[in-house]
Order: sequence, then structure tokens, then C-alpha cells
Amino acid sequence: MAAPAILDACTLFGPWPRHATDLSVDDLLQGMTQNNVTRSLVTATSGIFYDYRQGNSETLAVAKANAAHFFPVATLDPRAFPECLEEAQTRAAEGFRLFRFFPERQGWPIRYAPFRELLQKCDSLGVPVAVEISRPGDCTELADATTFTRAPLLLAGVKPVHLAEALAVMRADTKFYLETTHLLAPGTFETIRDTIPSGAERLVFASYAPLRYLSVALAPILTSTLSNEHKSAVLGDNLKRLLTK
Amino acid sequence: MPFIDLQCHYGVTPETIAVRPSQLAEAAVYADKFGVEQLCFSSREAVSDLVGGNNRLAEKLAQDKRFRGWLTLSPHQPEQSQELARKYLVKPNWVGARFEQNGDADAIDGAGGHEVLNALRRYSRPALVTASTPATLAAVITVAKDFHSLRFVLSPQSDSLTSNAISAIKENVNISLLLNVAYTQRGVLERAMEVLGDRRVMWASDWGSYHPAAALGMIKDSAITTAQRERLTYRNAKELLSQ
Repeated sequence: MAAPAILDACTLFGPWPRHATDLSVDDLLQGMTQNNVTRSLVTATSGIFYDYRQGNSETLAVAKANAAHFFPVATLDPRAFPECLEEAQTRAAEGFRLFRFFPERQGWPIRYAPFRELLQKCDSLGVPVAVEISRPGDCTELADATTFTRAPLLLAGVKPVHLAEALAVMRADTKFYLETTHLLAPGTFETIRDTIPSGAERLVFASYAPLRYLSVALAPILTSTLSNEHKSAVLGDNLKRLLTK
Repeated sequence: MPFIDLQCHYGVTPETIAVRPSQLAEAAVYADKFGVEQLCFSSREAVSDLVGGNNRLAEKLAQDKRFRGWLTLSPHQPEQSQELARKYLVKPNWVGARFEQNGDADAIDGAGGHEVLNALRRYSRPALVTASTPATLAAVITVAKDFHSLRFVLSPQSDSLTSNAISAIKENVNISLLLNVAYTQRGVLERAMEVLGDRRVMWASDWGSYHPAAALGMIKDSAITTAQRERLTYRNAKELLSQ
């Protein structure tokens, strides 16, 4: 198929611990151009590893400076409860399109009262959230912890070894979507299409560029046996729909 | 540009247990499509059933002249490992021995590992060793020093181990680095070739666990020269397998 215009749900910029160099905005833009990615949802890594308020300000500045290429995505850190509730309110008003959570990287558990309060706040604001999955059991805990929310919830960072759990959670609740970053096992997208209600409509392309090689996440989708319509959905249409819910 | 795919997986792997495991006929299609000259398989089953898994892989290798095998061995079963080596490592379609270190308990620098590696010296074949923890990475470096006539291929199994391995093995010239696409962040391939030199970095698709398009995508996006690409995807493996 001719490569469709692509929307990338997760890109990053800033310092990354244990990475030799900073993830630069220029590298990100170059990779997007090379791979026909028209727009990306972008997050400052300082919001993950240092201070979420500072990171969100940096994200907003970069997104404003590159408005044709980026939508801003905020990080929220429940370790900063209750101030993080105000941050959610403020950033939603500023136009942030998605809130991301990184439990493992920030050292807090999914079963965590401040996180529960924050999820309730995000849900009341109608902003979708993405939660990075790191360990077996995380998807299940997340599903159990979010029975009260209605906004779309993206499972991020899901690896092939977590897939069965993600499938079970997605079958039980249609608010769950799945980012494709690490879904590199053969036949994964076809399995999701065939076993989950509206499966192909709940997959969202996310590369983690420029931390990861963009084509590593992109090529398995383009070469899958999904229909062209489904490929277009995964590579952009699903995310567009999710952001306008 | 021809390819040699240095690591493919036969059987049900942890990565494919939730999806339909790939069939060997699909590996042949992949080889036809991308011009893969050799595909080097290991048996996932052999990690738990050393003899049965290797024997079943041996039967499958006969299906296609491009298929070759890594013989899975274990430091926990030194006698069976040596017997398997005597049976298979004298045959041309077996490229070498493979050790899977899934945790510290599997480290190959213990007595069992030394016993098996000592026996491997007579076959002049490389040893592919995975590393899943800092201790298992250190174990590979230790045995590479102890068995300096053996050629080791190190396959780290996490982002941080891959990154750390580059500087850790720099001085151990009998260790090459095999990059796994799932554990290679952007820029790491380039840094590996810069630090270790063009001849000590290897490529594999991990077919059977991962879609080969992913590892091919890594090459496409990497900032390396055409000559380095040829080294990475073909010539280094060719020289390794013909030693």
C-alpha cells in the first residue's frame, strides 16, 4: 500500500537516563519526515524522570513552536498529590490532548490511592490517559483500579509477554486501547483484530521515537496482513477518533 | 544485499505464546523475499528439554538447505550437553553452541559451564550466549577470558544490558555483540560499531519471536554506511560461521 499519513501517539524529547545523548527535537522531526509521520503526540522526558510540572511546560513550549507537527501530551505524577489534581486541570485547559503515567519508572504502584484520585480527575475532565505497563499483572491491576472511569485508556509499553493479559482486559472493557510500540511478535495485529471486539479500531501506533528506531515499530504494521483500511486506522485514524471523544 | 540471519527461533517462545507461532514454511518465504542466505535456528523447546528439543530441531533443519542450527546446551546438564555436542557439532548444518542464561542461576561461569565450554574447544565453533542480568553478562566476560580460543556471541536481553555490554566487552576481542531489535534503542547500533569496530557487531531478526520487518527497520533507520551494513548483516556472520 502507499504509505498513509501517519499520526504517532508517543514521541519524546529531552534527556533519557542511561542513553548516551539527549533525545533531540530535530532528530524527532527528521525521523517523522523520513517515515511520513505528519504529526506526533510529544512529551518531555524531564516530566517522567524529574519534575512533571517543568516537563509539561517544556512540552507546551515545543508543541507551540512546532504546532504543525506536535500535539502536547502531559505527564501527571501522583506522588505530587494533591497538587497534581490542579496540574491536570490547568494542562487540560491549555490544550494538552492526553495524560501519560509512568508507574514503574517513577516508582509507584498501580494500586495507589493518589493515582486513583487522579484518574477520577482525568475522567471528569474527559481527557484520555495512557499508562505504561511494565510487569505481568499491571494490566489486570489497572483494569481493577479503573472500573469507575469512562474516558479512553491507552495501554502503553505492552510487550509480547504481556499480550494475553492485555487481550483479556480489552475484551472485558471497550475503553481500553493498545499502543503498538513493542508489539513485534509476528501475527500480533491479526490476533488482536480477530479476538477483540473492534480489535483493529483499538490499536494505536506509537513509536517512542527518537528513543527507539521509528521503523522498528512502523514496519511490522505496514507489512502485516491487516487490510489497508485497518492499517490506516492503526496508523492514525484510531488516535484521531480517540482524541476527539 | 544478501543477509545471514544469525538468530531465529523454532517453536513456541514467550513472545509468541499469545499468538500463532510461526511455521518454518514462513521462514522460507521470508528468506526468499529478503534474500536471506542462511537462517540459524535454535530450539526454544531445548531450553527445557535439552535432548528432545535439539533432536526435533535437527529433523527440521533438513527441510531447507538454508536452515542451520544453534545447538542449545546447558551448564546444568554438562554430560548430556557434551553428548549432544559430539553428535551434532561435527555436522556442517550446526553452526555452534547456544546457552540461554535466563537468570543468575544459569550463569555459565560455574563448574558446569566450564566443563561444557572446555569440551567445546575441540569443535572450533562459536558459542552464542544470552545475558538477562548483570551477573550473566559478567559471566560471559569471565568465560571469554578463560576460554580465549573460543569465539563468543553475546546476545543481551534488555535495553540496559545491551547498552552496558558495549563498553563492558570492548577489551574482550573474542566476544561479538548480537543485537536484538526488541532491546536496541536508537543510536545503540551506531555506538556499538563505533566502540567495538565494524567486525564485532552482528545482526539477527529473531524470527520466530519477532516480525523480521522490525529488525530490517532498525537497519533502515540506522546511521551507518553501506559497507557497515554489509558487515553487520552478512560478512561478519559469514566469517563467524566459516571459522
